[in-house]
Amino acid sequence: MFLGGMNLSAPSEIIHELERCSRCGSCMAVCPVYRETGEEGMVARGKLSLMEAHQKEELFHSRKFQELIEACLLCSGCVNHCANGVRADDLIQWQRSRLRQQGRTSWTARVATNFLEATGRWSRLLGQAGSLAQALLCKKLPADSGLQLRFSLPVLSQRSYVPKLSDTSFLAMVSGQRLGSGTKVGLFVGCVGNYIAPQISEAIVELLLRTGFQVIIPADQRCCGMAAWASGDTAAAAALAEHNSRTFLESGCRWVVSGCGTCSTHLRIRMPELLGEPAHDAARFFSQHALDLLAFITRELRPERIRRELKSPGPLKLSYHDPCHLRYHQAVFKEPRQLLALVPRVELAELPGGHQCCGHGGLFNVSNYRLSTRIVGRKMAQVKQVGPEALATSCMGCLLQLQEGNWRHGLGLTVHHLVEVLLGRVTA
Amino acid sequence: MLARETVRGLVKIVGHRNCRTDPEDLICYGYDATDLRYTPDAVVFPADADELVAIVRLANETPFYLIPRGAGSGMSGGSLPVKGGVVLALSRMDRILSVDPENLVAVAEPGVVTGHLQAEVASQGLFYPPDPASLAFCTIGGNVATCAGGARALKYGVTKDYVIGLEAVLASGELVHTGVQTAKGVVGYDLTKLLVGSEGTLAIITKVVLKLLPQPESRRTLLAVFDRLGEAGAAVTRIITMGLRPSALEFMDKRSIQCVEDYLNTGLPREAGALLLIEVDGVREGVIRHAEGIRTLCLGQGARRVDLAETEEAAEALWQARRAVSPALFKLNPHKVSEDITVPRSRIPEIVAKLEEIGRNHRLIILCFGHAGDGNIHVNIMINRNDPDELSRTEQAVNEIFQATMALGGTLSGEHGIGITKAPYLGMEIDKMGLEAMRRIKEAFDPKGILNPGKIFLEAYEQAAVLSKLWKGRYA
Repeated sequence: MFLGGMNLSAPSEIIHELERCSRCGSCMAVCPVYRETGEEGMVARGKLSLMEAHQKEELFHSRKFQELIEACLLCSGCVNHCANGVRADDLIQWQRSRLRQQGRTSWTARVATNFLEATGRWSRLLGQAGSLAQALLCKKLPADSGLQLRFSLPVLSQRSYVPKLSDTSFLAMVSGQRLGSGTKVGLFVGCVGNYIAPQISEAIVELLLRTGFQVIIPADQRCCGMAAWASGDTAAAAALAEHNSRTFLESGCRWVVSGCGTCSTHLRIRMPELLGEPAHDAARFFSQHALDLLAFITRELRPERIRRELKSPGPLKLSYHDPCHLRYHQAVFKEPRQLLALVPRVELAELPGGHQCCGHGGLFNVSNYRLSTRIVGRKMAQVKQVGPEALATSCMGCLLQLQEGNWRHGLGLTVHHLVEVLLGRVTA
Repeated sequence: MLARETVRGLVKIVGHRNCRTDPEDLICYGYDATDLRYTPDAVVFPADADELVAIVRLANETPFYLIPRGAGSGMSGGSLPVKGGVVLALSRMDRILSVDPENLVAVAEPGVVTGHLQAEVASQGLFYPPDPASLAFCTIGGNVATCAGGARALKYGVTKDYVIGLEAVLASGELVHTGVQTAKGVVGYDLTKLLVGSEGTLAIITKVVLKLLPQPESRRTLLAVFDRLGEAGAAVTRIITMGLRPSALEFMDKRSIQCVEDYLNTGLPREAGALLLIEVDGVREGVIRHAEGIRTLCLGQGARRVDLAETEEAAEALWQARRAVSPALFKLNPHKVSEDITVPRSRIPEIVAKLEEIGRNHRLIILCFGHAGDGNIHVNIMINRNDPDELSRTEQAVNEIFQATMALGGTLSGEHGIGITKAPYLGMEIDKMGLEAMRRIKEAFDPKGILNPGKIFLEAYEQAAVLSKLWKGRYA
């Protein structure tokens, strides 16, 4: 199997890739998990040394090994920083896939990925049932889009804040519609955009329509598969890739656009790998024509054309949070700032200290909740220093994490997807 | 091997979670940035000085070896558990205890990351100058143990010049306070300066009292491009002797430039024979004058061109490129032998010519870059450790490099320390009586020899084992 340009089919190849790590320590400068724990097993060079020992049969499987392999955000900061170009993210994913094959994945990860994979098939029912369950189990937090569990469940006892499911999923609302006229843009909705924050999907559609595109929303699209891939369920990820590939190609769209930095990274970079040689054309289509909303808008349209459609949210001091996937995999970080500069009366206050992960990490938030909370706590301290009225981001995972962080630390901000800010939809 | 009751004793001090004997932890705490690998018997994470004292007492009584570790980013093997024992991971002792802007003093625990300390004091308008290239992840404790340097050492000196006091645990488990909290003091023997650079072999540091400076008003960075390293070297000497006081004066040879460009693509001129990266700081008017003076001088010495970084971002990008040289070299070959020789500044062109000759004779890739201003050259030999012939040629080359360095009146290590990688060669520089005097000090401080064994000084019987580890294959 080829991953990230590496041939990982033979043990000797895997060892070869692992041996490329020279333990220089540069990864320690950027790893958010290492920042919190100061532990070698929690940073790339430590994990790589464990995997190397494991491959060479100097280390045998243990619960600790499994936990350390799972304790990674897959943010790819280390890969970005590694002068030797060691693909620690792909290697860790590969190790997770091996563990999964051996039945050695934590049950939280398995439940989470199975749930997301199943979403496609039971979309409508799940949305309604989930929403009902939440109404019973949770109380709505004032002035927030999250919920707090009414009582602590034994399993989720550390977590008291959960994102609120929408009453109706986005796909149920717009299913199969073709809107507008012009270049055909397929909208990849994603799980959060579908079940939790349909208003964001609406905003994305509106922006695309206003800027002169035809928006196609294939009804049968499913979870992008990032969660499955991240937990090592490569087969499920491949199945989802194949399904989504067919769905979007059949729709005849010219571009596939997603407003979630994680989904768009998965569609653009992982999906082509998962589709592989047999689906060469489909793979090429996604690697070239699947784009993050921000990259798409700034590439296809001139600033003046975009500016015409934007609405000011009123005088607003705002900070933007860079999703790791957008920064590290797609080098998209100038684009959101260019777009924000076009919105009247928005003051962009940069957060201090350089790039700082929010700590969500998808499954990481499930399997390492406490660490995830600590990482966002550090982020919130940065935000507090700057004192904006609102936060914006362009990844759904980051969005949920920042909302929880905002609530947990009592910062009293509003947290939005960037597209909502562009359309002036900022609640005071 | 540690007896079970010893492990129980450690657990009693630090708690279950902070005393590890899992194979995973033994692997993770058995390497450092040299990529040499050993296996400790246990890893403990003390929370504070009290726990550390208790651990050292236990080590003294049992006895067992103690190996203090900061970030494990050392280049000479200082934190490797070469004889097993207990790795003392100091990552939990990571608090900046105080910053006193009026008296320009900061007190920090050893696990504080150097870059974090710099950022914290900078936010208060203060300046902690020592800037090793690994500052984003290395620790103050490690810096103190090796007397770490960095580009700014030229004007500002090294770690030793900023440590005015220490709190440390002796091998007996007794806590000792050295030095002062004032700008000056000479009371009794200067234990502070003895401990700085002692590489964890005389005491374990629990607190560092650091002297700070006010932030300079202004900084400028220049990049001078030369066709030949000899011309760059001559320029270096003239810049210093003419009193133009740069705060940093770094050089990169042709190959290092190309490696960094392959890695970062920042726009450094690939075709250059050598680059000088120069920083000037101080009062604004002085900085402008000195920068101009340096530019004129470099052009007079044959520089093709001299660029002045226009913005802070542009300057930072240049320094990022310089810091990235060391990791960038791995593009050439997967493994590295890194030496850190220092020669009198005026002899840089000679030593570099000699290094090139040694590289040719032994068919090795040798790159040079580093602190031209103080004659401290990072010599990097990029090899493949899985090639025994290349390893053996490297061993010969290293010997010749050290001999050439000594012949020019130089020293084996400017800032990395001896650790184990230079231990077999210590005799080239220190004479018999010097070694004997050092040994007596070691015996006085650590009679049982429990602190960081196998470092700096090797017994005759240990020499062979270390040489074998260095030169006989990656996993020997």
